[in-house]
Amino acid sequence: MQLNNFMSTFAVQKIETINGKQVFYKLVIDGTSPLDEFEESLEEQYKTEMDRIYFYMEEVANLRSLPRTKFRELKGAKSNIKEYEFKSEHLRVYAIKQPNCKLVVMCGYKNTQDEDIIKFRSLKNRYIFSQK
Amino acid sequence: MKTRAELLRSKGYWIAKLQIELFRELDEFKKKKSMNNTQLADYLGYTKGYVSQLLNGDFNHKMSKIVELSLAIGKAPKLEFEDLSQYIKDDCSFEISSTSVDSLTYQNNDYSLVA
Repeated sequence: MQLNNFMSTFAVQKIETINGKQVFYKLVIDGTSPLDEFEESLEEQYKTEMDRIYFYMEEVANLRSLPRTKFRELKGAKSNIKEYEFKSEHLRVYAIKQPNCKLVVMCGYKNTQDEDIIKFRSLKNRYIFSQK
Repeated sequence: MKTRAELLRSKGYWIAKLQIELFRELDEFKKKKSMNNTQLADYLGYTKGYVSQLLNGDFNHKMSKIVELSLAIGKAPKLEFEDLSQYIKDDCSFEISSTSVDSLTYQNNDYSLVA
């Protein structure tokens, strides 16, 4: 399903890399997924960290516990839609709760997390608004 | 985007899996014995910082250390090897359908599980 909002088209696509009880989707904006773009832009040194994060997402998809240093609910969400952060040493993956699934909105680096969280919340709000 | 098979062939996936499995065993032991991190560190004979590292799922140590830790918490550290191609074949053919698990939330200071 695609919806127009602020000149952008939002869609979601299942993340086939994750095999779990709960489905993970990725946000697609104007035909491009921030998750895919981020992954493609990763320098070689961070690729192993991204593989770790996929494992953490799989554990969450299988409803298994993780240390809070790897996965946590973000505080300060202004809506009742839960926001999550998957973490490795240098990388961050931002997701939200959707009915019976999770949606990966975007990714970033640890050293840009403050700006990234602002951008993440903006994308989240625009996506949610597009569903109305 | 990486395929499932590519992920299962990656070093990062398997390292994280082993680290998180060790974290769960230690966390379970700590809870079962009603210990805090300091008590667990004293019991294991390690520093509190080292135990925190283990409970954060961050370690990359020698096999002898993993065996030592496992035995200290009363666990047999079994390591099984399976043909990777067959593992990937089985994994990729086993499609788990999405469940209707809703709003299950459990959190404490040490770890989180939010479904």
